[in-house]
Amino acid sequence: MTVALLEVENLKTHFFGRRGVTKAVDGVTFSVEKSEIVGIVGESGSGKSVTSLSVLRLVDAPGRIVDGTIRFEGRDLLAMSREEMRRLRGRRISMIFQEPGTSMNPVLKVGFQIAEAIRSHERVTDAEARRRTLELMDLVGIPDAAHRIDQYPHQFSGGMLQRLMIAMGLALSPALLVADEPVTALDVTIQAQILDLLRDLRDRTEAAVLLITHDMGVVAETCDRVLVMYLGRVVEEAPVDKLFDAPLHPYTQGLLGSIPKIEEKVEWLEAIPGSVPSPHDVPSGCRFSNRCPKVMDVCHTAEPPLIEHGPGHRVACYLYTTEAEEDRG
Amino acid sequence: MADALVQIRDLVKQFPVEGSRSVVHAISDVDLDVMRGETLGLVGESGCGKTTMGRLVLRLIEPTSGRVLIDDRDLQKLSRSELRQVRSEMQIIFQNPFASLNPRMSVEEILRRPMEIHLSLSAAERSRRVSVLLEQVGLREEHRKRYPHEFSGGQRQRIAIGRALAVEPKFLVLDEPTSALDVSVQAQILNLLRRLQRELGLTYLFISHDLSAVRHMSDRIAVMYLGKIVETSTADALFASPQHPYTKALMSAIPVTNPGLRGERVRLIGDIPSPISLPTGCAFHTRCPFVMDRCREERPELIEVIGGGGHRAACFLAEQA
Repeated sequence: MTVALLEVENLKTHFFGRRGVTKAVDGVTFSVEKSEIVGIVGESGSGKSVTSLSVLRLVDAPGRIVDGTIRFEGRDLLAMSREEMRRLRGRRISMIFQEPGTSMNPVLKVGFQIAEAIRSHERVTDAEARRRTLELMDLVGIPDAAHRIDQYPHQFSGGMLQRLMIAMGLALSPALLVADEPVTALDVTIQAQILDLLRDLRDRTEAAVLLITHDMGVVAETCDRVLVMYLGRVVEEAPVDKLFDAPLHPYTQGLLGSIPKIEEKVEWLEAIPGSVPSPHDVPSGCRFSNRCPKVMDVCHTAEPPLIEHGPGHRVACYLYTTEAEEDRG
Repeated sequence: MADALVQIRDLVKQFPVEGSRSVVHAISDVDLDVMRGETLGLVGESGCGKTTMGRLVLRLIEPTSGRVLIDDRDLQKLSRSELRQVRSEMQIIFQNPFASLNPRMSVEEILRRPMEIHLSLSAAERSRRVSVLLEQVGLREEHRKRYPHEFSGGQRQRIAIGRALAVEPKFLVLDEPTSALDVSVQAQILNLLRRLQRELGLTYLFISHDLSAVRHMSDRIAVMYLGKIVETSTADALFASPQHPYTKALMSAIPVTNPGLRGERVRLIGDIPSPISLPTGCAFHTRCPFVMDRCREERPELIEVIGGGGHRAACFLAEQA
């Protein structure tokens, strides 16, 4: 068996605040293969962003990775020194964020900022850095790059800024691009352009993408495989077609039922009752038990394990274990 | 023909640009009716003027020119006291329930205050009405004494809806009412709004960038681009046969909820032009995949298209009725 590009096992990232410990990520296992687009989808408090920050080891105090392993290209990221990690970031793993506007320095030309990403890791001449910057701007579809390379961030629209961020992320041909809500701040017509770009770049550069989003539509458009997170745990994992055709977890079913669909008109949406509990106040047993329409006695006793249910399809729910049958009698 | 509760006529709104003689053309020559008891969806991307429209319709801001009539009363011609009376008939729900509720007021005070201003009720009657409102929006009696920070986003939006209903309005402007909420909670709020409309006979102007939500909620839809209505129709006809290229592009940009349908789409190139210097001719011509010479010079009028039923589009390519 070949080793995956990224292997995360039993990751726990907790925050130690005055109100006690918040278990933002509490035992998450997944992998990303070479040139695969894996989505992590969840609502607020699901731990999806903290998971992605943990992979880059960018979690700041009072947060800390308290358990688990993260292997990237066969190396143990949690055993690396800060300096080793710094060299890895940008070069092998890079990240793009939700607000492209706030991720750039407003007083520096965009070309300089992209070139800086190259220069901070490689010794290159100014001419070489500029040539590569132009190539990158072309790659991400910025028209008239030769002229725009000397402009400032405020002269770009949101969609174009996100393209620049992606260019910066790809500057050193990383093996993995972590994208945290990359289109959330953009208009729908621009979202579609950026999602197309991400898929197209994956095909051309073979970079894998770990895409963090709250939007099932973005997942359906872009991902090969999906993890659904709820309150710090993965509740379901599946190839994208499987997840939408035959979702298993009641939470996934509820999320899909909540979205108004263009294809079919319904009178009422299948809303999930209640709201996501505070991470300080996680229900015992299955974390979704207090909102689940199919809740059983066993769900209150212990956390259901994530078990295989069909090829590549895993689910953490007692409806699919033998305990459930016993419970139903 | 059903009768219009809200009539918008030749509405124009321009905002001055500081330190310059140019203006932002937020709304240009909009004519639109909202029928009694219906939901009219107003959809468009950021900067298209949809939020400005909502504010103008309630006269929260003053138009540059044009008129808005509610029940045949021209909002521009009303005296202060008449306007105050009309205000109780029309209310607004904002996008962000974290910013639109006063953090120092309890739920009870939030719900009671509009009644104190607009309705002549005794203290006991107001208190009873608070109970009714709590129940209508799906909150419990025990929530009465609590403060906004004790609630989740979805519950806060319920409080905001309760506050809007407090004065027994006929007409609600819903400005992106679910955009700030978690997906699983959005559906609850949309269901609640629909139920309240049925129970109370409300008329809605539903403003959103989310075409799926607009489709779900609306009887009729108006599509805005750069301050103009480019297409308007019943929701069903709009989705069955969209006429304007922008409507088609918006529809195909909606993320699919079926990965099997990926990639069969009309893509728009480029970004929305600046509303300070509008393109000549059709405002959409800079991004239109079907642009012709004529579009760069002439401005297409919003005309009735084939199929009838009030389906209108502002495009030279639309099949005229």
